Amino acid sequence: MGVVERNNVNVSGPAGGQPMVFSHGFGCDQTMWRHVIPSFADRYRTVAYDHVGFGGSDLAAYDPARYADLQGYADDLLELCAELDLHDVVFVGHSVSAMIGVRAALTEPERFAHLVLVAPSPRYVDDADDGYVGGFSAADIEGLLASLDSNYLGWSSAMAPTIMGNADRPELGDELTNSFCRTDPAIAQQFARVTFLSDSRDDLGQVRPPCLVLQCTDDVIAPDAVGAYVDEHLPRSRLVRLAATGHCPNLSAPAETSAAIDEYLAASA
Amino acid sequence: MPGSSTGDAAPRDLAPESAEDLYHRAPCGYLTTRPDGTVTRVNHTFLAWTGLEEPEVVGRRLVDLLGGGSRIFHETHYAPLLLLQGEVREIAFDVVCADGRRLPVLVNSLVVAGDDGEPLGIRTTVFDATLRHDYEQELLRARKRAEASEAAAREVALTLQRGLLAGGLTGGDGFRVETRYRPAVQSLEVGGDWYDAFALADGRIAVSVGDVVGRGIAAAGAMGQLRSALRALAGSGLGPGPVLDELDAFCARLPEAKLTTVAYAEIDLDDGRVRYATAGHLPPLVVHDEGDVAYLWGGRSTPLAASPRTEPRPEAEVVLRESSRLLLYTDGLIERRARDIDDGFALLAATAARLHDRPVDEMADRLVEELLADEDHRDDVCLLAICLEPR
Repeated sequence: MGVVERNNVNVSGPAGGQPMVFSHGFGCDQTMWRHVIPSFADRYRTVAYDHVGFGGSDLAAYDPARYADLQGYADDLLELCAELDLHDVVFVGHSVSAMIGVRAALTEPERFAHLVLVAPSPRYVDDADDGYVGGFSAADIEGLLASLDSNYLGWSSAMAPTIMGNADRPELGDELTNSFCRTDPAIAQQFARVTFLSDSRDDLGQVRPPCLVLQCTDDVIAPDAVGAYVDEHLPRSRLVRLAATGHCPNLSAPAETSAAIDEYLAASA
Repeated sequence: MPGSSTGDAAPRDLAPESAEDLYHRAPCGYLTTRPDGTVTRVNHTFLAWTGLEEPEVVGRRLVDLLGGGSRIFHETHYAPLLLLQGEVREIAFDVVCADGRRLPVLVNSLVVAGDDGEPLGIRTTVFDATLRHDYEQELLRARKRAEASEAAAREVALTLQRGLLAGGLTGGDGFRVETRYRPAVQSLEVGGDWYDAFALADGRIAVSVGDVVGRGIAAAGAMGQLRSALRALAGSGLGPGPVLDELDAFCARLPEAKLTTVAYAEIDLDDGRVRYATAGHLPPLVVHDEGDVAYLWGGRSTPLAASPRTEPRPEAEVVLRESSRLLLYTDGLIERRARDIDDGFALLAATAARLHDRPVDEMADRLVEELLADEDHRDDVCLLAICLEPR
């Protein structure tokens, strides 16, 4: 099965436009970008995809050995770029995908023109040895994994409890009720472990393409100090603080997010 | 008015119910937040359950009322879902109470929008899920125990099977034996195939390959008994035909052994003479040192304990040249649903011929690899290759 099908790739925008690849974070799928992509699809060749195991991707392609490390996801991204023959890519990665983009840029630096890192964090767990504050304890991550177990108990009857039918909300498209935030619980558990227990701090210093770091206000997952850390350790980066609160500005404040990305790309042109 | 003490008092009723009372004395917690999650209103039930005071809740964000793992889940699942769908139901969170205790809850949330469609706020009902949570944890533990138990049972079956196949000769003065076993790809249970190689009293070498019907511990157990019985009966020195007849009698008393197929051969290392017989089993294959191959179609009879026999089982003879190989195998090696059996025979013969001069261990490895390359084998596969060597 090809990459396009495996990762449920959706391409938009003019054929000759500079490619912009959108990579979703933990828990959801490319639907997270639905309010941001239209702002760029008039000028850029936008490419959105689902990580294997999420959204409309091919669950059968999930290989626990390949995805035991972020490199597996980075390799998928690079395969996607090769398959679609993308060059000078503007990579836009949210949350844990920011570090997937970083990893991909270490493997193929010449593939990427820019990395846009939305609410990134190179490590979520505090490191007592060197005083790094990621915001969480190891116990918190175990609590997340337990939370995943509690919230997926209804999986076996084919619908995760967080998804409901839209019979009483006909204005919602069908596509929203089918795949968003739904995934196989075993895959969700492993992805949670791999991402929330990962440490990509050493990767930052080796990133060659220029980067934009978008930092939200009051983001419990990626707090301000973490965004500042990422900015300090990337060789070439700009940090922009958004007024948007929470961890998902691509959904809660899409206009502000798009504007920040636009401004950065215009200034870099 | 409170009724009189007589039985004619008007029935008690809550009506009229003020909005205030409906809100605060509700059987669930009820919160209103701004779109960014800041709590603007909270009902008394929620405060009573958590022991929190109103000023500790109003003005704080919902996410800040939750315990560690829930905080992450709130940001990665709850908030995006709410933003995209306008409502969520049955999200499990842990709320941190005034005394530090964690209260497991289920929440439903609804985004309330203005006339312009922009969100004005979020209403959230909170249900105490303590008992349900405990029950779920118990179920999850039980499921994990069941899965571990299944895995352990499988391990036991595999260990048993390995044990039952042990003890065969691998070589000696004038011969070398290579055996291979590949379990069925999709099966969770062990199978009933076996291979064996042992010495007879007069120095000849006996080899057998067999296939018990069915799977699981019962089949494995029957297999072990048959393999041993064949060894014991072969010791009589009566030859393949009579040995299989005796094995029939043994099988008649062992229900799980009915319809087992066997290929059995006795090899004289001095002159290369092979006496053999098969009971319902695929013909052994001779691979000569010069690359010519031939299936041994002699000595055929019905599977063990198939039906009462009136004639003794036949046997046949062939002579092996030095450096020849004799292959015994089970049907999983060549039988495929979508392929004619003759094509399977041809493939095995051609492949073995091509490998005739490779060392016998390499031949065995590559035979299995190439014959199973289609990955369509639904059956266990057993292969025994015995090679005559210069003494």
